[in-house]
Formats: sequence, C-alpha cells, structure tokens
Amino acid sequence: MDESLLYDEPEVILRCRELDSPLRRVIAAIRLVNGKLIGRQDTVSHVIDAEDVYYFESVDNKVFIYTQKLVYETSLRLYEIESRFEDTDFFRASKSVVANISKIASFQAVFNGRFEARLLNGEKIIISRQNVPTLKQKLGMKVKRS
Amino acid sequence: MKKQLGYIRKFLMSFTSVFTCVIIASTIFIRLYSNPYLPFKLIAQAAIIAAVSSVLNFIYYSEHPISKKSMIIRTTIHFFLLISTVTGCALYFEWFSFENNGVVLTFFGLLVAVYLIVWLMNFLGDSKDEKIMNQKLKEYKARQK
Repeated sequence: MDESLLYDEPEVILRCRELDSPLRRVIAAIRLVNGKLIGRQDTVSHVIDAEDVYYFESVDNKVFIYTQKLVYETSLRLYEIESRFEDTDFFRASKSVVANISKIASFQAVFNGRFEARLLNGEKIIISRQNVPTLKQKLGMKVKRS
Repeated sequence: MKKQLGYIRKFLMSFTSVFTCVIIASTIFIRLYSNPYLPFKLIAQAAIIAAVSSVLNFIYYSEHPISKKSMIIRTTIHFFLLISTVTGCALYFEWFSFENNGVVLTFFGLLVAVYLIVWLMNFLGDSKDEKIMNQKLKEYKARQK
C-alpha cells in the first residue's frame, strides 16, 4: 500500500510466481469493483456499477442493462461484455443473456438439462443447456465432458 | 460449419441412445409374441425408427432461450409425435396389427415405458443438479462476503 497525493489514479500491481485460482478471483473482484458502464435511458446517459447489474440482454440487435428496477441501453455488444467481465461473477446464460451470479437467488430445473434462475428482484431468466457447464464451472462444480 | 457439426453431433448422440432403447424394447416384444431370434431386418428397422426419433428431438432446438411453458408444450408435442411416428413405422414394418388387443397394448406399454424411463432419468439427473447448484450458489455467495 502506497498512499500519496502524488497519484491521480489508483494502480494495483500483482506479483506472483503463478496465477492460480484464488489470485484470479482477486483480479476478478478488482475488475468488477472498477467496472463502470454507461447506460442510456432515452437521451440521458448514466454511469452504472457493474456490481449493480442483474443481467445484460440482447434484443433485436440492441443490448440492454437490467439493474434491480431499471433498464438501460448500452452500445456494448454481448460478446464484448462477456469478454470484459470474464472471470468475474458474470456468465453467459444463453445466446441473448449474460447474467450476474451474485444476483441469482436460486436455480430450478426446467426440462432437458435447462435451468431457470430466479433473481433477487424476482425476475426469472433461462439458462440454456449448452451454457449450463460454464455456470457449473463458475460455481465450482465438476463438469462432465460431453 | 461448426453449427452443422453440432447438429450432426446432437443427432448421433440421440440416435445411439434411441437405437439402444428400441433394440431392447423390440427384443422383449419379439420374445413375447414372435420368433425368439432377432431377425437382421429388425436392426435396420430399429435404426430407421431411431433416426426418425432423433430428428423429432429438434423440436427442442431453439435459437432463443425456451421458457418453462414452451418446454411443456414442446414436450407434449414431442411425446404425441413420437408415439404416432413410431406406431406408424411399426405398422409399416408389420411388427403388429390392430387385430390382437394384447399385442397392441404391449406395444404401446413398451413405447410409453421407454419414453417415461428416458424422461425420468433426465428429470432425476436435473433435479440432482438443481440441488447441488443451489448448494454451490450458497457457498459461492458465502465466499464473496
């Protein structure tokens, strides 16, 4: 820790022999804390904390940011969001949704390997079968290779 | 190309499991009502039924996430289409005729039993996963605090 008025922007330097799983989590947490997004509502732009995002959804070539109660539009593409928040709490739930695990209250099996996630605000999103292994991996479950 | 290979993979996976189930069910059926030795023709017929059944599995395919309600509708459609298609094939292959009630009942019984076993196995597997995932979610959130 080096606190001084000389610095304008905070800088984190991590020195390690090997980037293991706990360290990846630390990096992910830093990324998420610093993760700010610009979301538009009509013509007004808002700065949104990534931690407050419940999920991102792509509808008709537009990407929307869903927070607890509000919806914003973003210029980011879903794949950009996915890569930007790689190793964080975000995961690809389906072709059109990237969701935040920390905003999920519970999971419910639907049929045929699909799951429904109930979010903390009561909303429900579908996790498609091909994305279930990624989610399981994030949760620390063993994933069978199919 | 990747998408097409995915379709082929899905088809082959489904084909293998359905083919196995059809052979087992047919063996029981033939043991009860016909020659105890499996004719070669039956293998080809079972393969045709497995192929048709595997194509029907694409009812579950969708570019967009399928809601719970839509899944129930698709499963119901799939069930009836599968039963009617397999019955049609079996009639065409002269596996049975509607003259003998016992044979008809056994055929439908086996068909429904195979469907239910596959469905039940999937359901039990998903329910087990659901339980573990909810437990892991709690642990995940506890680690974050």
